[in-house]
Amino acid sequence: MEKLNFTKEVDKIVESLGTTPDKVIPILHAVQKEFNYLPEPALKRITEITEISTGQISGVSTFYSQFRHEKVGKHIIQVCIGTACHIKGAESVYKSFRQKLEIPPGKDTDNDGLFTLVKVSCLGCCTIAPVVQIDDLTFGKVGSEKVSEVLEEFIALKASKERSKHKKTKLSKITGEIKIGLGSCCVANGSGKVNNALKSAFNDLGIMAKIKPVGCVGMCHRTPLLEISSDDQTSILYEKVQAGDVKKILLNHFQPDSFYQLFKNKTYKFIEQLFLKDEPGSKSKSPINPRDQHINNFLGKQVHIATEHCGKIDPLDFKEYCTKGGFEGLKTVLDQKSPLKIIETIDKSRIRGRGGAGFPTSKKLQLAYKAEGKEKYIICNGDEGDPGAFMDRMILESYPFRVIEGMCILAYAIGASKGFFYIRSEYPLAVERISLALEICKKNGLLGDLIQGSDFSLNIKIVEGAGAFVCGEETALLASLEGKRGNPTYRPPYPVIKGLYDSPTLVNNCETMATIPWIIRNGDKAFTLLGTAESKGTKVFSLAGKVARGGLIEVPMGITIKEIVEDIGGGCENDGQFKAIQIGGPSGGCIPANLKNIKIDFEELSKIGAMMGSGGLLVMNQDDCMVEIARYFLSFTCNQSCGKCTFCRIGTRMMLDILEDLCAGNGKLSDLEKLEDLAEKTKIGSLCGLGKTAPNPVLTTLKYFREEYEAHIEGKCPAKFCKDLITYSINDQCIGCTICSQNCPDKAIEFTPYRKHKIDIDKCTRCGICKKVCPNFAVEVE
Amino acid sequence: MNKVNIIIDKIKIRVSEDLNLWQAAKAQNILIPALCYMEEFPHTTSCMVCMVWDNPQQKLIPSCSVKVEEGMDIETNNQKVQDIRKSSIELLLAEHLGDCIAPCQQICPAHPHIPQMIRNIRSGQIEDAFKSIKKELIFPLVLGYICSAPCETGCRRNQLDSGISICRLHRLAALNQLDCSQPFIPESKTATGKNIAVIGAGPSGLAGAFTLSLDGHKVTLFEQNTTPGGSIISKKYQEVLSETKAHKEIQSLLLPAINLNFGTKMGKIENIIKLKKNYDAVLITIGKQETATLKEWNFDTTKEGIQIKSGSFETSVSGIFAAGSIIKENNLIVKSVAQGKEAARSITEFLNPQNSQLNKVRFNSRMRKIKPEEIGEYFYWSTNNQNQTEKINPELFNLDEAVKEAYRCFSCDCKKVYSCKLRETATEFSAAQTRTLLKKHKIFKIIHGETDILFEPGKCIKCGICIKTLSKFKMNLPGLSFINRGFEVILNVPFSKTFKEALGVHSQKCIQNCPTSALSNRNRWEKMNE
Repeated sequence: MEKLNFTKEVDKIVESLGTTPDKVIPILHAVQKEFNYLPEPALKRITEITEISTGQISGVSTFYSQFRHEKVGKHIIQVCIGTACHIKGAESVYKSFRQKLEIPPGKDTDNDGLFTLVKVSCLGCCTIAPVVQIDDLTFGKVGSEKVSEVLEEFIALKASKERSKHKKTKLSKITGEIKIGLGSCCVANGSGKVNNALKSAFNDLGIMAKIKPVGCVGMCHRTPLLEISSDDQTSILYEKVQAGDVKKILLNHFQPDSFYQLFKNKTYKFIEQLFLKDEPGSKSKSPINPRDQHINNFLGKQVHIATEHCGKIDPLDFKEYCTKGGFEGLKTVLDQKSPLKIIETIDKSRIRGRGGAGFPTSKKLQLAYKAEGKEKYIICNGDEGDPGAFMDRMILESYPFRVIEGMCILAYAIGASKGFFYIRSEYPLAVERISLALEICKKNGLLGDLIQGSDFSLNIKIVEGAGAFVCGEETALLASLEGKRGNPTYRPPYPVIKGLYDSPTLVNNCETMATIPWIIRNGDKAFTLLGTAESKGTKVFSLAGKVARGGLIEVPMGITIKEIVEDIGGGCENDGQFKAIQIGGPSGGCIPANLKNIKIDFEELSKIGAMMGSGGLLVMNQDDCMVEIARYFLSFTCNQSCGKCTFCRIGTRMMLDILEDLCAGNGKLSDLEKLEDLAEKTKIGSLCGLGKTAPNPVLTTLKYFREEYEAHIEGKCPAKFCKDLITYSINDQCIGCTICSQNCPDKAIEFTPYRKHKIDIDKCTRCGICKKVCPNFAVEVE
Repeated sequence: MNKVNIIIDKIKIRVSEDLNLWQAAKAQNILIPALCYMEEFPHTTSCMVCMVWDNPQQKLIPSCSVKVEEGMDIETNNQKVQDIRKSSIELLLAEHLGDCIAPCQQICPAHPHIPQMIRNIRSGQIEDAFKSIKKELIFPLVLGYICSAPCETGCRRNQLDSGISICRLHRLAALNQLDCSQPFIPESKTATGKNIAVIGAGPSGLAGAFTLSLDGHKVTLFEQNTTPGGSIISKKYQEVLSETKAHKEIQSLLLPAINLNFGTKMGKIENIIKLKKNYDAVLITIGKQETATLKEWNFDTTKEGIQIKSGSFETSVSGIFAAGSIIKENNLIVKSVAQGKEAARSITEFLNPQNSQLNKVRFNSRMRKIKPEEIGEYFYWSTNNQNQTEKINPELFNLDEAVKEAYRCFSCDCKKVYSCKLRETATEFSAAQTRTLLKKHKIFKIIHGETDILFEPGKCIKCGICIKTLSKFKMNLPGLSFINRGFEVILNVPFSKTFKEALGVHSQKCIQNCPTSALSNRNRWEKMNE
């Protein structure tokens, strides 16, 4: 009976998606969505009715980490273990969830089958780390002590969602505009709730205003942000707005239509003030001046090219994009009818690929232009897998038209007529916006056949990844597009000569694509005025970690680390001490604070052993252990290695073993030599960029923080981070408030009201919750 | 067909542009080691053993994956190339879960092919069993009685119940030969015309003389006593080993071509030097001597005895070799036997240095200690019976019982011990095996699904040649493929099908193409090719 059901559903899915081998990933996604995992009978059925072989389906479905072969709970909790989340305690968060949900050891699902707990490599909401996603809801700043709260909130939200399904807001007259950031981060930090609160407040207060969703504002550290433009054209910005603040803010700006409402609102204001007066903890929201010092510093050194009009533009408002110069670049090149001229402009602009390695974009274009092939492809690489990076997500979510325009221009330049967006499936909002934007472009004659009356045709499809970092490597990406395991292949032949289905294929990162229209519109000269001798233009970074003002920033190449961290980022949060930055994620390196005057460009970074990478930039302070961070990145690359070549498959595993030993205090001095040797060999001997750069975090930390490695060998962790090398204790500051005891997940602190508490070292798992919750700073770490 | 000019190892050549660097080198008779590459299939770029040095670009590139291009300048064997090759092999070895040769064979100083002998017994071929070990063990009968049997201590089966009674088995095989009209003697090589003196007819001397004679040399065996045997026929062993049996086996070693010179006292230095003049080489096996005496004879000494060069048994006097207790007193007869044999082979090499690789020590992968939950994997071949031999009167240990005992053997030696490419390259680059990964992460498994085709994931190097072999025949219906990712990648047949079904009629081709013995036949072990 069950098999019959599988057959029916699978047949339906296959019918709508197609039967060719390249459809395997979309089909698997759809099947999983239907059954919540991949049941074997369903997989068998797929092989029966498609050209997908059994070998292909088992190989592919086990390669990508998003595919599950076992039934999961009703809701899936994804704990982000991206770098920013990691250094803010994601492991403890994960453990807390396990304990709260009483998930039995060795399993991922609780006994009631309600929740399945998984780790996810990065959700790309790094500024509000630690992040947890439950089903489609993202929660930011989820400390391990907040786990119960989040679960309760999730359940409440689910319930309210069910209730509010049929409620609708009616607006008759627009008296002003409210801009609200609806990037993934903003939503996770509460802007979705603020948005809902706005809508219901409109109803309650009888106010009519236009809510304008805008893409990433960049100032993630202050989200949710509300910008209110009243009838009189003044704009006021509110930061860190919570749902509860909405009504009051609205009343400051808008007058409802009816007298009755006016009266009701006055009363509301009056009563609320009465309530708030006696509460010392409640701060009333006051607007911030958009030009206040902090914002000035944050925005002052930035130059927005790929992120032009950031925070001002509705991602999906086609008209608005056009009025702000959108698609002018495309129209120009279609008018000029000279692909070579485009390539020349791009060549003169000297832009280099933003995906990490910094290969000159024009060189690729020239090769792709010259390459012969019946069909040529263009691919936008949005498979941003670096933990701690979210530039691609933000760009795709916030500027979908710009990326599409860039893609069209490049497609025209090389003569490609088919295009693909390859986007991480962890970025559902990006996928949604791009697909809507593609629809809109098609409707407006900017995509499809014979665009704008020219002889140029371009059709673009979206393909979602399925959880494999290595697919960001272009040859692996192509393999994945063809429906294969994401194994990279040796280059040459380069994809521009022999790529997708052996045809010439241009693969570019979405930031590169987003920069192209600007260059065409403003000319190559304008672009070369920015940056350094060898690295021109700007670079988008996701600034996160222990920094006061995290966010998405776009800065000219050649800016110093100091300027980014101290001026834009405002230094370390909570008066911490700036120790190092990690740039470029698992392919990059750790740069110590004393090198902060280094100018950031491709050459300078590789000179000191790091790498631009795609642009993750994480600030670390005195509490971050460098050996542990190397271990963290190696565990990531080891897990993400495709497993094809010897050095990456085994070398990373061996390095990880050594680093794990070091962090556990089981290291030997000879291990450092072994580690260095393995790192060097893996760098030389690996097939693709993943393996070749995987040793960078190890090599740079060994180079700049060797004394920390040596300390670990002696059994000490100077940052007091490595759990096996520290102990927690409670000092005489303890007032016996019992908070620590109540919060300890390991029951390692006995409940002794009004008396000094004591930690049972044998039970303590050094999760650090007690230290976090203690109001009197009585918990010490040694 | 267009041709291009390239340089390989400083030699300019002109080759077809269709070739890759590996093929271009091969055309120059340079065989670049490669594990994951076979000419008949497209490259995978997995093992990274075939790396060569690209001079203009100053970097290492995998020769199997790079097409020749005009102006290329390649070095196939510089230091960087050797280092990276060695590293890649060592990484592969670090996750290689298996014994090249069985621990019994490894532990025994004489390294006889015990597993092969046991398999012969198992199939009732008792004469073949004898043939399998005679050449290496030399004294299967004598040692069958008096050996303290390190092989049995090393047997993997000890981890389950008790080791195989190896000594009794080779004793039985030897007893069976004893009364044979034409006892088996290994084939001798063609005469070399070299004269060699062996002094002392104890276990070392007899083994040395026997081996030298088989190697085609003219041997003269000197012994001060009138009867050969030395410690073998000492009182110590008389209770367990009857003199007649010992003599019979000793006689079998005194091949007709050996000159016997018994009852000659040979202690004087003058005599030895005189001998050296008359002979191409001398092997001294006269048992323990005072260091003072050895010094008097002009030999360098150690604390324990005469000093020999490491790697050979040559003394400080060129052309004079030593074996047995004269080097260091030892009570393990089989060790003396092994030394006599090894010294003899050193002499052959000394006399014919061109053949030196013959004696090169092969790399041996060693399985880590088997975990209790893994031991059952061996039952694809062996029975779970307990050892019964202790209860049996040794003299009455009959063939039936021997066969039963042989069935207990795990046959844990590798099926591809001679043609394994990994072992071959590991030997070539003197690679070493680190064992931390094996201990921490690898699970020992033999997957067979009750069929006669086996797959050992621990030996798979993920080259994908089997998959390519099948796809060449367009025969991949049950879908052999890699699953998982990274370190967890494993070859798999989906939907609970067996490897036999997946490989189908091409199973033998796949097994043959497999660079290691990851794929193998249930009951086929490579035989010694000598």
